Amino acid sequence: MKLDASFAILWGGVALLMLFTWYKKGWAGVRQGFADTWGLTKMVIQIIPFALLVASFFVELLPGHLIAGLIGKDTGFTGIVIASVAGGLVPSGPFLSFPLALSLFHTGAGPAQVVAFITGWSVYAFYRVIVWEIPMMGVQFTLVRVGVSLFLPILSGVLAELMFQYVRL
Amino acid sequence: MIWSAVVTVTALLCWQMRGPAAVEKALENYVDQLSVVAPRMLAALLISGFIQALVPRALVTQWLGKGAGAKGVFVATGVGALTPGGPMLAFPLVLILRNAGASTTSLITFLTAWATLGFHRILMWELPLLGPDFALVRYLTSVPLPFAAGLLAVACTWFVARRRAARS
Repeated sequence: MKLDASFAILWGGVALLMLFTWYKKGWAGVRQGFADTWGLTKMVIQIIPFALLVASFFVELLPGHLIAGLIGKDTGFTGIVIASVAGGLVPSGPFLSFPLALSLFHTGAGPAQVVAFITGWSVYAFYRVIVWEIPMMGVQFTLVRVGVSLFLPILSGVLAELMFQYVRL
Repeated sequence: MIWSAVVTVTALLCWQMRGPAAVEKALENYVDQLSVVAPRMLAALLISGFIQALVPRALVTQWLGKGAGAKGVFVATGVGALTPGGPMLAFPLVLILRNAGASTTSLITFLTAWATLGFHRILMWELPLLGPDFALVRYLTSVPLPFAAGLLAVACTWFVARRRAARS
C-alpha cells in the first residue's frame, strides 16, 4: 500500500468530519453518516472495480503515440481544444471519466490537456445534456447553458498550461 | 450486467489487437491501481456519507432560491461546489430552485460550479486517482469558470431582453 499526502488528507478528513458530526448531531448523526456511506458504497462497489479494469485494458489498447501526438505535452492550444471536445464526448459519469483521464496520462497526454479533458467532460457533458438537462430544463435553458460554457474548458486548459510551468507533477 | 459486457469486449479487443502479453500487463496494472485506490476510496465514501448526513438540504435550497444578482452568483458558486452527488441529485435540485424563483443566471452558475468545482467528486475520484498536485492545479483553473459562465449568462439575458424590446 502506497502512503502519501492524498492518503493522509483523506483519512484525516474522515476523522475530523466524524468528530464534528458527533459534536453537532450526537450518535444518531454518526449512525446516519455510516448509513449514508453504506448507501454510496453499495452503488460504487458495483462500478469502480469494473471501470478501473476497463481503463487498464484501454491503456493497452490506446495507441500511445497517436494520443501523445493529438493531446501530448507539446500540442499547446490545439491539443487543449481537442482534449476539451473529447472530454465532452465521454458518455458517462466520474466513474469512467477519471479513470480515463488517468489512462490518458499514462499514454502520454500533457497535464494541461488532461485538465481541459476533465473540464470538457464537466461542462459540455453531451450525455448528461441528453439524459438530464434537456428533459428536465428544456431546450432553451440548455442552449444558453452550453452556449455560455463553450470557451470554459479551453480557458481552464490555457490557465493550467501556465500553472504547470510552476508545478511539477 | 453492462459492465461485464464492457469488460469482456475490451479484454477481447485487447487480446485480439495487442496479444496475450498486453492482457497480462493490463491485469497487473489493474491490481496495482486497485491497491492504491481502494483504501482512499473507502475514506472518500465515508466523507461523502457524513457530509450528506450533516448538511440539511432545505437550508441549501432556501439560500440559493433567494440569491440574486452578484451575490447570487457567489452563493450559487459556493452551493454548487458543495452539492454532493451526480445529476440525479443536481437536476431535481435545479428544477426546484427554478420553481422557487431562482434566475437562469444563478442556475447556470450553480450547474457550472457543481460540475467543475464539486469537491465531493474531487475527494471521491480526482484525489485518489490523479493525485493532489494535479487536483490542485485543475481546481484552481476552474475557480473562475462559474463566474465567467454567470457573467456571460447575464449578458445573454440582457441582449435577448433588449432585442425583444426593440421588436415590440
